[in-house]
Amino acid sequence: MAQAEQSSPAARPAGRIERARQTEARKIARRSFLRVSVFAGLTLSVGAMVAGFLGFFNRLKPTGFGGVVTVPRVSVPAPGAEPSRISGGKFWLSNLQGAEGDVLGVGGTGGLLALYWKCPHLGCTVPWNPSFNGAAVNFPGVTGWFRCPCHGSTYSRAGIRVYGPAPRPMDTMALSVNGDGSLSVNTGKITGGGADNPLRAVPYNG
Amino acid sequence: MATAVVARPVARPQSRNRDEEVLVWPDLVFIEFIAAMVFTITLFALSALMNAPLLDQANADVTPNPSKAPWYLLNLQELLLHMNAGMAGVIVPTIWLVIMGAFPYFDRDHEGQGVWFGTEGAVRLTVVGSLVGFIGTWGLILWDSGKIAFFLNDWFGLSGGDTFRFLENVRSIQNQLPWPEWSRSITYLPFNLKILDQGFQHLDFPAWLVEQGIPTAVLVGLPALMIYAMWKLGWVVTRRDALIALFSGFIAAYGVLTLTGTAFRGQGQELVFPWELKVSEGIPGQE
Repeated sequence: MAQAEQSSPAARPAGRIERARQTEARKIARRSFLRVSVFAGLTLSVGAMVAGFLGFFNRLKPTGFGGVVTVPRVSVPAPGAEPSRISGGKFWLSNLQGAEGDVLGVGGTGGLLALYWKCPHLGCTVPWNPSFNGAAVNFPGVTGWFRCPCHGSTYSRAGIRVYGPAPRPMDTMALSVNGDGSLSVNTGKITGGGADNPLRAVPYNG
Repeated sequence: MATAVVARPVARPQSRNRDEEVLVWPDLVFIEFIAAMVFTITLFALSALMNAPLLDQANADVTPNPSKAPWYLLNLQELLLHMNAGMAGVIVPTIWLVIMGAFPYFDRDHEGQGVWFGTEGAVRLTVVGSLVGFIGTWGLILWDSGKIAFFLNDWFGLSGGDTFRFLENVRSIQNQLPWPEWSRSITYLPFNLKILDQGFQHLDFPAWLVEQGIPTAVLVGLPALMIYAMWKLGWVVTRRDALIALFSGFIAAYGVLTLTGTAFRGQGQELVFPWELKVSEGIPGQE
């Protein structure tokens, strides 16, 4: 090595300066590369967070729960039959026969009712209990009630609360009947339950 | 007292040599740190690579019936069955904890401190206070579950018919009495506050009575009545007597609430015997 350096003394200094210059250039390149990477990464992650946040506001076309759920004709229970569970829309579809479910007597005349299955008390999923006897909650002779597994709130077929700590009857969803006998239930349009629940039922002849 | 302290001098700890001591930092803490890191990274990698086989346990659409909190919280869940959620879950526990914390400020007598059953009637107060708490809590639970009316009818053929149906449980006071329409929506604010929910602006009196009024009256009134009766009987003489009776009653009520929630609540939080209690996973079609 020492011999090689001595053999070309004229070429060496220029090459050394050139190498140093290139090294220095590379250093700056590396620094700016890192700087760009950091900011790019930062922009990317912040952008992803902002996009995710804005995603919550995308209410243009929600599908499934939150949007309009179509219930085919075969899933609509017969009048007086047990309510059917529509998982996609998180609701119970009740087909009331006459004043059925109108246990407090507000003048219900029957029809279809989409009852949001979330308990208005503390949010548990309310199951349908077909064998529950109303005698235990003051309504002898009526069998089949919604009864919450968490705190025992009890609702009639029309979602009327007759027992337990729930502050109001079960919430209802906007429901409309299509020409072919299927239903469109707007699961994004939930109305707080009230004593008038049986009056909200939609007539159905499909 | 002072002489007793002097008579038994406390032995001073002997100073140790350095080589008798074990270094905590960095030796022990460093090992713990490495262990913590290894476990964190392992769990992180595992959770990224494999899906936990939760299946229906993680299905939010599936709710077990009955759904219960851990046993030590079932007293609160039992309370939630009978009154307004905010009251049972937050207000009642908070106020009671504050009251218990205030016991030493209410009973400031130094005599007989730390002595079990230190006052004259203490044993009697403890026993009677516990019994009142035990029977009273059970009675209220049975009433609100409708079981008292049910058994009066089932065993003795006693029925109030439709006239007294409103007495079967607390909610039936709202449902089975002919409340006038105005009482269901009493406007108490002189102006319209749009940020408030309609329910807050207009008082639904029957609902308020059932969810807040009666529970508050029972929670405050019955213990107060017990203390008053004991005072009239001459059992409660000092403040400590009152606190002994009150605390005994609380322990009994707390125990009954925990026990009921744990062993006597079946599907739909129905009151059942422990041997009849069975849990459904709540999977649709398999209930």
